[in-house]
Amino acid sequence: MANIETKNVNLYYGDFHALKDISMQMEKNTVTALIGPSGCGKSTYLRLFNRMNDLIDNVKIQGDVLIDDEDIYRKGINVDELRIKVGMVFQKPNPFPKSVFENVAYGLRVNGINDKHIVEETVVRSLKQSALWDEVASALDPISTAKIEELIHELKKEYTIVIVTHNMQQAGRVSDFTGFFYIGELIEFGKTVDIFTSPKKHQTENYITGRFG
Amino acid sequence: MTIHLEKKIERKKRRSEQFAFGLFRALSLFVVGILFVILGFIVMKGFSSLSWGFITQWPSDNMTKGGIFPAILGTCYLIIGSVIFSFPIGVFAAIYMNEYAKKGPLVRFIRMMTNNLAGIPSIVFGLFGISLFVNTLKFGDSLLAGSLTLGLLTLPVIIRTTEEALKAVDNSFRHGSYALGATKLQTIRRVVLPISYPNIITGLILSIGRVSGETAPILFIVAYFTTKLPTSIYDQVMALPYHLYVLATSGTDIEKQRPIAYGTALVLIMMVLIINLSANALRRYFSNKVKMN
Repeated sequence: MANIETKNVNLYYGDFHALKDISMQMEKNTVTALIGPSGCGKSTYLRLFNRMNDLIDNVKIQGDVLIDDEDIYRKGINVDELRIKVGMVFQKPNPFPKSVFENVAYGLRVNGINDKHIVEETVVRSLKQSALWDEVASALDPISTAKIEELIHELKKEYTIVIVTHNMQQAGRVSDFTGFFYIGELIEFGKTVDIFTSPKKHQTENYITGRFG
Repeated sequence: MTIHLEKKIERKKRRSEQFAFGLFRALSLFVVGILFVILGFIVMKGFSSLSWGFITQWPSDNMTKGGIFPAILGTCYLIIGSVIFSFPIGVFAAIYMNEYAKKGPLVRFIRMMTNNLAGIPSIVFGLFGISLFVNTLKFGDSLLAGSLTLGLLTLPVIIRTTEEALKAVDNSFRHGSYALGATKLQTIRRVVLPISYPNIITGLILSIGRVSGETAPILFIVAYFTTKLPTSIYDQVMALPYHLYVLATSGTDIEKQRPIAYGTALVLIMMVLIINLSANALRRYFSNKVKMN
């Protein structure tokens, strides 16, 4: 069953056609890696799912984006609730100028969870993880990369995960499916094993083998 | 030969560098110098009038003796009154313009009008104040009318500094907050405002300095002399800058009033200084709080 699905999605930044007719399905409890050169639309595509593109001026979106078969762009949807459901880890870590505790507790607080015990418990639990995220920020050494990937495997049991990555080996290791983007188009999408071992398109093969990109 | 030439060029470069540095240093010292000359002049002329009685007593003997207490108190009231009026309105307007309104012709128009408002000569605010607050709304020559007029005057300062303060907050903070499911209001209250407090307070300091020193807008509103302290917002007040103006231009015995005038100027300057210092302390407190919290 498809958990996340896009049907013929087109996205424009003003006149710039950033996503071209993209249809894709992501199944529940799978990891999908989006690969492709910088500026090809992977991040824009990712930001469709928690409607972060809404925050940019002059964005026009056509087509359907469905999460659990619900159109998340229909009128009357609660965007704040959607963003609680669809979490996002940014490329750049941007802690608020508050203590680490308050930073981790922020998501709980804005969602009205103020019970002292729940907040503390969650923060202590997340701190173990956030220490790990912190290392990702400074440098991706092989050990912390492994930890991140472990975490992704762990999270997969409860979530459907979409990652954007420039690291081919990582995409190969953690994802079940891979989508290759190039200049706003989804060139090829399929099982990661297939994409990496027998890509159907020339461009995909060239990119994966490092001949361009 | 070439080594000689290189050395010569080197020396020339160094000399012009030193000249530029010297010039910049001299000019900055000149600016600071002017400030010290003015301050020194006022302190020298006014210090002799300063005493405990000067700031706690009423003017007496046709303003040739006594203190300036009602004017000090009046200016304090006017500062508080105008800030109560303009600070919330200004901050909310800036929040609307920067956080809520779609960037477009409407916001550009409001911003242009705000800038125009800042450019209006203060005497025009005085005339406007007397026609709207004093006459049309029948507030009379009162603390209320004076506060509102001064509040209008400082509104653009507060709007602009607040807007700049909000703009300085990096969008990644807002996006991070939204991505965690925060609403717009939560994002503004918990992330944007705490980060921008220190800069918003700068706007407050600027406007307080302006309010305490302006004479023209309240020329027709504040009192030449009152026999009692204001007990309600509809009472008349005296104000330091206007008192200074009266002492210097239209008193009964200008020669005898001179030292009092300089004393008044000194008190006014010290008051602004004290307000600025405490506002700065407040500002530092807030920026530390943002870091620690």
